[in-house]
Amino acid sequence: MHMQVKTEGGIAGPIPGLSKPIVLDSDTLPPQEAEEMRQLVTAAHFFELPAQQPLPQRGADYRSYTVTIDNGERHHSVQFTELVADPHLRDLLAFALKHKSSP
Amino acid sequence: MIFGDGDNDLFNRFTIAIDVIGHELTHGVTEYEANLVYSGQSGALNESISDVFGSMIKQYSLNQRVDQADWLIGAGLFTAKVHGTERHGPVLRDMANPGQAYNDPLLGKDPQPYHMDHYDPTLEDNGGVHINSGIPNRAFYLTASTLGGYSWERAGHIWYETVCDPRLRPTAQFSDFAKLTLENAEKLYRHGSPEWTAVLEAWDRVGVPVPVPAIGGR
Repeated sequence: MHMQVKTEGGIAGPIPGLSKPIVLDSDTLPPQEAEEMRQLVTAAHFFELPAQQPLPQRGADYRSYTVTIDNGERHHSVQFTELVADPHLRDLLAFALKHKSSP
Repeated sequence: MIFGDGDNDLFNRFTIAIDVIGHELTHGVTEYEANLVYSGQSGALNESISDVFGSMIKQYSLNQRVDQADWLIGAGLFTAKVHGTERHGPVLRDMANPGQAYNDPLLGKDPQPYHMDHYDPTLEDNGGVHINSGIPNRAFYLTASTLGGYSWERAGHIWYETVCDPRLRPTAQFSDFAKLTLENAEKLYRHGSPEWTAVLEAWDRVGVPVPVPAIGGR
């Protein structure tokens, strides 16, 4: 399973050196983390989610995320902001952000 | 209201700078007064208004005249790991010199344009709301610098009247906003006054020329 997380926005706006997406692959993650990733994706019903989660009606300077997952059989992208309500998506995002490396 | 905790690697906590706090509070004012759509040019205006009032809040708190102000957004926000420019340490945005906020091996170079010739038609960042805001930011800086004194007294007054002007539509473009600032400069001061002239010249210098109306014309 392959996951990519792209981040945009925030008060700083796009900073060229920080625009690199987070890329995670179950083949290269430690087995326990690879299993955690699969469980989080299943719990979120990721492949059934609409590609675009509802945008905030108000507010500015929120971060937007585009999560793309390929499990070998299916390929799907979901876009949402840090204000997303879905707790499973939030958990999945938190897992990915833990793996963010310094540029 | 969203600030962010920083990461203690490249960013300190985002509440470290008073202008950043002012920036976020101003988003609340803009939302209720003008409701500028947060994408493309209206979004860049929304962002710029937050930088303009965020900077004025900092200047007011330090009792600074325009020539004493640094016109920077987010000073102290980056950690010591990040490089600034020849002019100053690393910051989020430089209103006087958009594009010169930071230049760092890790972060890259500040992408803000200072003139319409360099307007970035990107689809990212809601159509470049944090990028193209450099253009109206510089228009405000130029207006305030030409007038001198305290920025909030004349330039800030003109900008605030414009934000509250019912003719400012949620989908306003740079040229719409520029035209309204000139009309409000005329209303508050007069056609041909130093304030009116400063506004006219500032927009011209950033590549958003405003057609000059006849005296008293709308």
